[in-house]
Amino acid sequence: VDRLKPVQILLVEDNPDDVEITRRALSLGRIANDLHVTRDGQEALDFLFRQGQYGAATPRPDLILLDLNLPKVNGMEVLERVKSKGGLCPIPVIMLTASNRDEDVARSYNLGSNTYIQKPVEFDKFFRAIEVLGEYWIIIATLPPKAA
Amino acid sequence: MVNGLADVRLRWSPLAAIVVTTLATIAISIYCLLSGWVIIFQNLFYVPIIIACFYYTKKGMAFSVVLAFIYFFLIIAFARDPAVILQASTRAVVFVGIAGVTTFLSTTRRQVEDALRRARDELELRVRQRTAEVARANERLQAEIAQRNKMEGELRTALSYNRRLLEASLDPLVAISEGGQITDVNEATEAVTGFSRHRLIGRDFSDYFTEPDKARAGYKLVLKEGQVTDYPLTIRHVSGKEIDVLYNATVYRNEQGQVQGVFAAARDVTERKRAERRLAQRTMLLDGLNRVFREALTLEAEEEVGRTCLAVAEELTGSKFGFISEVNQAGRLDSIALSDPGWEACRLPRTRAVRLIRDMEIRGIWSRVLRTGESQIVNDPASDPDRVGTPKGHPPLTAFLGVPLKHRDKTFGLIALANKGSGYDSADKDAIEALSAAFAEALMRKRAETGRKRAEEQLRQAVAELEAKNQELDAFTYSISHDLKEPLRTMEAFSHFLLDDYIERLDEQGRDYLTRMGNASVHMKHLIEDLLTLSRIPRQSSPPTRIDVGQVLGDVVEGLRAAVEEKRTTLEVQDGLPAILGHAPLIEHVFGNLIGNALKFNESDHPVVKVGVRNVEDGTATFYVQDNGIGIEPQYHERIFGVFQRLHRREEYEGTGAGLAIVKRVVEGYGGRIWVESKLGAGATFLFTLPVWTEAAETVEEKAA
Repeated sequence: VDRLKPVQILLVEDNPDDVEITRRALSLGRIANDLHVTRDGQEALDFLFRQGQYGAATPRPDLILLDLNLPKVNGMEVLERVKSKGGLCPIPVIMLTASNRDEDVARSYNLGSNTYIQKPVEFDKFFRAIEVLGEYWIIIATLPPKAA
Repeated sequence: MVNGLADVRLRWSPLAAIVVTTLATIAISIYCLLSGWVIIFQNLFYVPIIIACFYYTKKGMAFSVVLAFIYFFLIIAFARDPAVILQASTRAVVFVGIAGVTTFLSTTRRQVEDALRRARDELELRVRQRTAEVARANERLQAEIAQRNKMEGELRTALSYNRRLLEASLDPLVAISEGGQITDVNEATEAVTGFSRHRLIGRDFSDYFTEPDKARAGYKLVLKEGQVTDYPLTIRHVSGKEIDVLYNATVYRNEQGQVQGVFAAARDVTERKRAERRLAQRTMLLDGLNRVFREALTLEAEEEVGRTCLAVAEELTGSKFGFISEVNQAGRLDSIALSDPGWEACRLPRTRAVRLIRDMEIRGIWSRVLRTGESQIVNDPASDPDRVGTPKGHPPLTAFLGVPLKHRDKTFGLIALANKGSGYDSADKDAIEALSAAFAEALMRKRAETGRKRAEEQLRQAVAELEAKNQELDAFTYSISHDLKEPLRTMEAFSHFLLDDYIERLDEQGRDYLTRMGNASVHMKHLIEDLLTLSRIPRQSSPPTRIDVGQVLGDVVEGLRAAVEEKRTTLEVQDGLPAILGHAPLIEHVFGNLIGNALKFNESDHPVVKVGVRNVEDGTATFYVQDNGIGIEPQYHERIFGVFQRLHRREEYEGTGAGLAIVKRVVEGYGGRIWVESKLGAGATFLFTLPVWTEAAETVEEKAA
């Protein structure tokens, strides 16, 4: 990863508070990142497929943080579309959701999600989870090359 | 004849007669001559002449000549008349002539006699020879007779031996001619038939059996095969009684090997047959009981069990039909089972028959069974006082057996059987009573089982519903608490962000307000968490297990280390605490909460908290957590265990007020109790009981789960 270029992160989250908390948690990290936020599933797909309001210049994300319970098109469908499309498939998708249902966890992994995180309901734990998540995926893990 | 002649000679002395007659004749002649009577005396001379000549022939002849001369000389001597003399000479010649004739005759007679004698002698000789022969023959005969007698004696002995041998046999023995007539019997045969020996002999063998043709075929088989073994027949006694026998028979032959007839020995198997029948009936009964019980377990409807029971009862007794009925709540009879033959015989439409047997009035002969609670045998129903007759078309009752169905000595119904061919006896009664007891038991068990199953099913449903509701509630509670906590997270987060980023721009009051908001949200979060815990305590998914209280306390103390050190508290935990049966997180919560309280509500300079067990009895351990803290006024000893009940202001002692309520729920969840001993300012001792762990208790809990 080019350290000089900020990491492109797509956050798909309808709760603006959580968006803000996530943004703050990621910004406290040592890594430069561009956080793109889409507020529902359809918008996320538009962003990913550079359609609708998103033009050809829309960046391809390096990491996707995906909520499950979303208006219009839900997270599971977004995940399915991402993982079934050759070009988007390698992008790590981290499920970040309030659901603790086993079938959601299982289905997500079956569809190719790379991590499943149940959103901690306590502020400090949630905040810490985002920090660790960013650190892991951006610093520790090696992301797929851009060209792929 | 011979003897007769001898007799004459013995009695008759001719010589004496001759002498006497001669002397008499001479004397008479002399006298006559002297008296002049010539004629008379002359003829007297014939007497001695004839006698002499007759008996002494030649000597007699000579004597006669002498006498003729004497006569002549007498005449000459006494008669002077020449004519007379002439006459006398003539007479003398006649005398001689007579004498000669007599002599001739006598001689001839003698000769004849001699011949006769010789003939007789010869005859006698022959007779003697013959007699000797006869005697010898006789001797031989005697010897033979003796021999024969001896043999006869032996034969008699042998015969008597054989006879006694025959009679000694308890089995009826009979000898039969080729034509099938009885030729001999022993006394056992007389006894078994009731006929005397002389009545039996000469009669046809087959006449004395219930199946004459079979008997005839039997002895014909013997004649054909030479012998027959274990040929079953039934002898009919003169009284009509029947005796089952097995015949063993063989032919007997004369010395030439020709078949003369059949010897047959009967073995009375009545007892054996009776025993066999009893055994068979017993086996049938046992099989029947077995079937009733088995079907009671496997069949769904009790009517089916009833039908089986009735079928068994009919089979056991040989009844034509019957029913099993039960007294219903209205005091009338409902049938459990009804045999088909009975109702087919009734020629009633099936539906009507079924309707008939529901709610039937209790009356008639069988009502006595229900009234008395005792079995009834009625082999003459027509004259029974309780007889009410049968419905039109119902086959007439010829015999009846009713046996009550009892449960706990209370008659609740009956098994009724009818029309056994030979009538019912006590054996039938005993069998059906055994069956009745079994059926009643099976029925009651089945009903209990059905009731139990229904209750179990209801319970299972209720439990399932409850579990579903619990899960629903769990999900609901979780989602509620989650939904409640999410805004709190936001509040907490943004108050943090504010304090982090804008602290310089706020004055003291603004910071205070912001802190209060943050605290309120944290407190709210704790309240929600406590509520969640409280709601989840009674529902533990796993069964309780062995909990090492010492180990749990170790963890608890470790978690409270900071608080303990902060207040410089002396925490004493007793050694060797008993293991209890529970769930580790809950037990941890109990001790943690109580010890936490002991630390929290303590203003002492040297706080001391003691944890231990006060006593263990009846499988229950009483633990205590003692402090030297602020204590609790007695009027609040109950209230402190209420939900969200607090005795102090929030700023004095933090907390939601749910802690002791949670502890109480946990303890009571394990069947224990909790209470406090305390006075204001004098410290507090919280006591609670928990079940002591044993292997048996754990097993029971596992099974319950």
